[in-house]
Amino acid sequence: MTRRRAKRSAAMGPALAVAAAAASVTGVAVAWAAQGVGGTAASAPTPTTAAGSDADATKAAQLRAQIHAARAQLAAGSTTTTAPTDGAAPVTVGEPASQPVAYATAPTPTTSAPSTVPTTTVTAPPTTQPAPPPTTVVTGASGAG
Amino acid sequence: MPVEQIARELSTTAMASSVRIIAADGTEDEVTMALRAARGSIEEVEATCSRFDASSELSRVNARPSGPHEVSALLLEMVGLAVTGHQGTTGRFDPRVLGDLERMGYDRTFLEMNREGGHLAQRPPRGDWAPVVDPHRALLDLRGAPIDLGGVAKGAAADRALRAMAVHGVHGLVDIGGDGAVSGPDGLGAPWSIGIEDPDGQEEPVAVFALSRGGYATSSIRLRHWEIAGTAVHHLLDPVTGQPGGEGLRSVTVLAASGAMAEIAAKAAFLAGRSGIAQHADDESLACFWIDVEGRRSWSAAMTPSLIWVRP
Repeated sequence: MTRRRAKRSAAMGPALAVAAAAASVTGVAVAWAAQGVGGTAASAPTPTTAAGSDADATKAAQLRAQIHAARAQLAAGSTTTTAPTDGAAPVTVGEPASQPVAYATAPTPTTSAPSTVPTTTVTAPPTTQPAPPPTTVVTGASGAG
Repeated sequence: MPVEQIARELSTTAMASSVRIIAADGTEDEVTMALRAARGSIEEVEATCSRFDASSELSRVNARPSGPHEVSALLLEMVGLAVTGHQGTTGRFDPRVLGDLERMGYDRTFLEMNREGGHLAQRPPRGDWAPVVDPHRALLDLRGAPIDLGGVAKGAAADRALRAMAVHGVHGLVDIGGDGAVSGPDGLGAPWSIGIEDPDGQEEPVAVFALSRGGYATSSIRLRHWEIAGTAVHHLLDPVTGQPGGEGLRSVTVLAASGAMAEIAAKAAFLAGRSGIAQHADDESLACFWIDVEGRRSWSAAMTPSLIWVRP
């Protein structure tokens, strides 16, 4: 392996690390986006058929096909469907996939409303012990020169 | 059966800071190799990224910041992390504050700097920071702006040291000057217990938190502050104005997925200032603990599960 190629290979690790780090920094946005992908289940009507009827079975199959097509259009961002061939009313399913409906279920910050003063102060300490537990290290400025 | 006695800890000095490397597991041979590898890894970051060493790779690039340089994968990794931090904090983390720091006299290590020689200069806001980081061709172009990686290098070095230990099958804790990371529980299988320093200098910490994985960092003005023409200044600069930022705060501690991210996030949170840090922590779901200039201690909801003690 040439020196340059070795450098390139070595550099790929950091590139991946950078990508992972980016995901960490923007973790909130990523998490919310993920919610958006999974939160738009279409609520299509369930076709009802009369048992034992070939005509009804055929109609039900057509309806299922329409719903399938409607879902495909829904995924493409449209709310309208192709009109059925038997003259029945068009089937409309759900809302456009591009609508941010997922935000209704996205996690909301668990702290209190914004303010000009710190509002997330928890008045009760995690423990009332007067002395701190033993610590391995201390984070702060004193260790830096 | 007697407990095996192994030297599981290594203390040293690097990056102008005290360094502690602690192994939580592993055999004697594994621990010995892991501690050595971790120390070497940290020294490599220092030799590459120090702005106080004229022979470092960063200093070489900073000396000619316009144009491409063929650089090591390590420097590319560090600059890549800084770019990520810049973007992830919408510019609150910006290594280009180097020029402002140098104007203020912080052009050598803090212990060596001439505290009388600096001045506060006004400058126009800068645009986005977008250096060329090309890992495929091992090229870096700072596009005219020298940088200081001091805001990410310690955390990143701790992360890297833990990875070097993991190669030998060892997990542990690496602390570099109060910033660091852990790669698993401590030697007893419990979370590490980490104190938050009192910015007033008292020995007792103001709080203690538990950490089993990820990084921690504190941005504090306790030590690195001085005066310029009668005005108190410190080293945590608002990259928009080039002036000291974080009004009303003395210290901000952040827990994050890695040491590098904790260090970046702590600076960004500090620069939000006392009036903005609560909202910032909420917006970012940041595990954050801060102390204001009047000594009030506050923390975000995301920090609460990690806190095991707060001074009454």
